[in-house]
Amino acid sequence: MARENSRIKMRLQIENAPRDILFSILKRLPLKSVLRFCCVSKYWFNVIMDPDFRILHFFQSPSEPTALILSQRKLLRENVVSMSPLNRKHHKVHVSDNAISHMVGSHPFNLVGTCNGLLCFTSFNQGESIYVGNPITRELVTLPKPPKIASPEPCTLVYGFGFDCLTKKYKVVRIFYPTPSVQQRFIFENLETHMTAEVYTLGATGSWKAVQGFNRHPFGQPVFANGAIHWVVHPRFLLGHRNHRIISFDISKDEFIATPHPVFASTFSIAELRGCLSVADIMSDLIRVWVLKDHITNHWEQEYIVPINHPRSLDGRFPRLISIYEQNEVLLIWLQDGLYSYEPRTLRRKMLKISGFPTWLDWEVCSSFRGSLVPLGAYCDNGCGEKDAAYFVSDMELYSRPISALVCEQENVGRSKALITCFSKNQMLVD
Amino acid sequence: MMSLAAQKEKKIVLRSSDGEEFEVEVATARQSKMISNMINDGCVEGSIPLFNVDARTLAKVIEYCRRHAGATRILDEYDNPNEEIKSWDATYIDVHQTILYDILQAADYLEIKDLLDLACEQVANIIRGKHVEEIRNTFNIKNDFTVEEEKEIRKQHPWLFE
Repeated sequence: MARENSRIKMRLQIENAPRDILFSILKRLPLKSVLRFCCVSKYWFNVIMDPDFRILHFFQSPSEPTALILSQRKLLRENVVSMSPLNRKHHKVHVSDNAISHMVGSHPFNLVGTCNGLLCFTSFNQGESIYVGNPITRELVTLPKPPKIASPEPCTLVYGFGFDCLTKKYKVVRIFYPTPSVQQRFIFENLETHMTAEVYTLGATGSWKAVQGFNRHPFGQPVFANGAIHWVVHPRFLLGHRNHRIISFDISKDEFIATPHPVFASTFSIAELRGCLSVADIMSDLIRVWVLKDHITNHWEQEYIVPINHPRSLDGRFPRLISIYEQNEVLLIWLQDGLYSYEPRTLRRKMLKISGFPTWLDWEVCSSFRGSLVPLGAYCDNGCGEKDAAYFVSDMELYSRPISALVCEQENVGRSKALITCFSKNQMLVD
Repeated sequence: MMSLAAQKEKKIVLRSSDGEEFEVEVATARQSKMISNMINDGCVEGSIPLFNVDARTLAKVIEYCRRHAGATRILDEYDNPNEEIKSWDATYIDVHQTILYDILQAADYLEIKDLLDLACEQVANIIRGKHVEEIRNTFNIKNDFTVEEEKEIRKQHPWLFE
């Protein structure tokens, strides 16, 4: 009887299992299960909603991306339009009609980048607005307006988004420089264009901080990997620099650096592979995939060679490496006519079926994405300046209020809702 | 400090919550950080009472500690001791759920980190695909949300339910 009693006592204890035991069990589960288990009891709900758990879960759960972020090519603008769950087993990507109606709006969002399940995007609907949000939890932070660009000439704007693992802070970099005119593009000697760069640290500083520019200017979509944000150098600055074609921003030191690399063919694109910077070097009949294994010693390795039939896409865009899956090592490659998976082990290449698109050629996959519960609130320092406080709410409030309440600028409310709805209509990709 | 050989010889006695005594080698007992600290502090005269661990669970935990204490010694004798111990672990932890939760709690109480990890992994594998109601049954958890509270959560966190 005594033994039976003690057994019952023990059984009851698991109900309120010590927080760290429940942490340790739940952190091993996929996001989908964790979200479902929020409703088990108040205790489980509190454990899962704990900002510490939400961060721990991201860094300990399987690291495969679960979704793709697609953009529509329209008048040279890349709009973030949708995410689609990637069904690896059946080689299918689905985009729902519903999502498209939300996506093709007159006020486009532009994706800056993704990092730890967070998205950074910009909108020029009401002036320049920069956001960081978590599409799973719908937390959204509107960054303070960066200093106005006071330049008589047209400027090129480039952004970057990354995570400083030393301080555990997220940073957004904004760069602008006078757009080289067509004439200037051919006068290579004259490189005296000034680049202005500012950094905003989420939750740490109340304002944008100016940082030293660099003599080669970044261009296009950034990639966050190896603790730095990387861009391809603007084509204008390439002459005579065959192995200085990648410019990086060290996120801990707040400085631009050149990332030396092997000599690539004329067209190449950058992507993130297993947390490392990778380059798809496009030759006439194959793609060489290089990976920056060690950014301190600058050690690059050629990891894959992928045969291709179409060396260049119809509109001059080159194939892009989107993502790699650690399990079974499947590569995802965007080519002119669609998205392919390639299994280096078996040399098997397969075109992914995409349903829900009116015309596939208008769309492009710009990034892979892994959903997370990573809270934005944990990076907000409540003790900092007033300006910051206006943009961030406390931890508790942040995850207990709907997104509309979090958007500081009234005019953006509708748009953000549409974006988030479009994410959720696509089932939120939490597999 | 005792020599290794002397440590191997020396045994200590662990007493379960239901009064059963187990004589174990010091190296085995030291797998538990809690007991290891007690040995270091010199407070292991007589038997160590473990109020939170019953005999059935303690026997099972000792089995694990004995295997793992041995594993560090035979490391050089096998080409791939890791693989071997992994498969031993997998068989060891493949137990009925009630025993599994007892092991989990005992590993936490006795501070046996590897065993705790092994048990957590096993629990995670069991509950991974389960529905909320199944989880409540498995863990004997009462749904303590009132109807109003559940409504409020659905309102505040609609993303949890989509």
